[in-house]
Amino acid sequence: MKDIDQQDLERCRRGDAAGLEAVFEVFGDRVFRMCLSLLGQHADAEDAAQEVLLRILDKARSFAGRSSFSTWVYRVTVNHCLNRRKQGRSPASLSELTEQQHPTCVEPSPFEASARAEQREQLSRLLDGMRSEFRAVLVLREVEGLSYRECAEVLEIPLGTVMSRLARARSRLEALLEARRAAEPQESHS
Amino acid sequence: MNCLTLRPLLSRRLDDELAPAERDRVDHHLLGCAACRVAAERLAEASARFAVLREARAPATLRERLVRTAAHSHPAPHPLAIRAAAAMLGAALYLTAAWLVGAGAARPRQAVLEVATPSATREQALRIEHHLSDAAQLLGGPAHGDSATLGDSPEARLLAHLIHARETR
Repeated sequence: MKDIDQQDLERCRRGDAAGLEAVFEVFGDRVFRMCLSLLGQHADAEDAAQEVLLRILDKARSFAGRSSFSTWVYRVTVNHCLNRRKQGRSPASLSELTEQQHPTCVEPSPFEASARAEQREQLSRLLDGMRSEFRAVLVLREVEGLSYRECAEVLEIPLGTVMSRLARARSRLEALLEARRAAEPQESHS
Repeated sequence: MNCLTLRPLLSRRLDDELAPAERDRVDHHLLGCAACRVAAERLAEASARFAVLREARAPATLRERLVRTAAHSHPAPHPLAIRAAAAMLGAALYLTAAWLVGAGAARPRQAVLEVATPSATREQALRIEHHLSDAAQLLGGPAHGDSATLGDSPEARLLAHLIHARETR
């Protein structure tokens, strides 16, 4: 997990325009990606990412350094998104994420764009059918590529729990995929 | 190792988080078990689905919104506002101290006079009025009208300066 360097951390702690720039440069993509994965809808993800990045800027001065700064940022992001979902502010659906709404993606051909939109929609439905703790650990590992130890630090759970929770999350994902495969022929006939 | 004990390990195998000896045992089982091989392949297939999220990047609109919101919620204080706030604080401290010990001090008096400048905003002017009123009450005289009635103490002279500054603003 790439952490912030000392110079950028000092910029963050100043809490001014330069700090905001540093926060966005270092964490903008990661925070947005996490919000998008956990919340589903592009507009909600953007709102949530904005809230998280401003909170990071606001709280950076009081960051105690008990974990790495990146770990703390991931923790703030996960907690924020899960609370947002709990409050019902973000019904998950990645289907809104079209290439037009997400111009920062590498520009694909129309066929690729359509295929990606379809993949996101399917993934959104699958993730929406999972418990939030499964969704969180799955996203940290699969999307952000965090190690088990890093996942444990972010979620503040033992390493063994990360292993078992991830295995169960994948098992759940498998079951959902299997159910979808089983439903596909019926859908195509109807 | 049987299928039941192996399945939970497939997740760690996928993430390359198995110890070498454990990995050898799992791989050995997979060689002879078609059902577990299918389970391992499906796990890898499910993992590959997340690629569409891995490529997501923060949109440019997020940066723009952030800058706008930050500027709105944390506006950079105007130099005059900082000066005025510091001066008002100095004035309040001076008036209190002057009343208590009956002595004047050049620096806080200057600060008070800085507040009562023609460039002060309406809000700052209202605060000055408030301070004047408090000061007048402390000194037992009016915060307006004839300042000569206040007497000749350092505090009274300061109050007279303030009243004059306000009236000429």
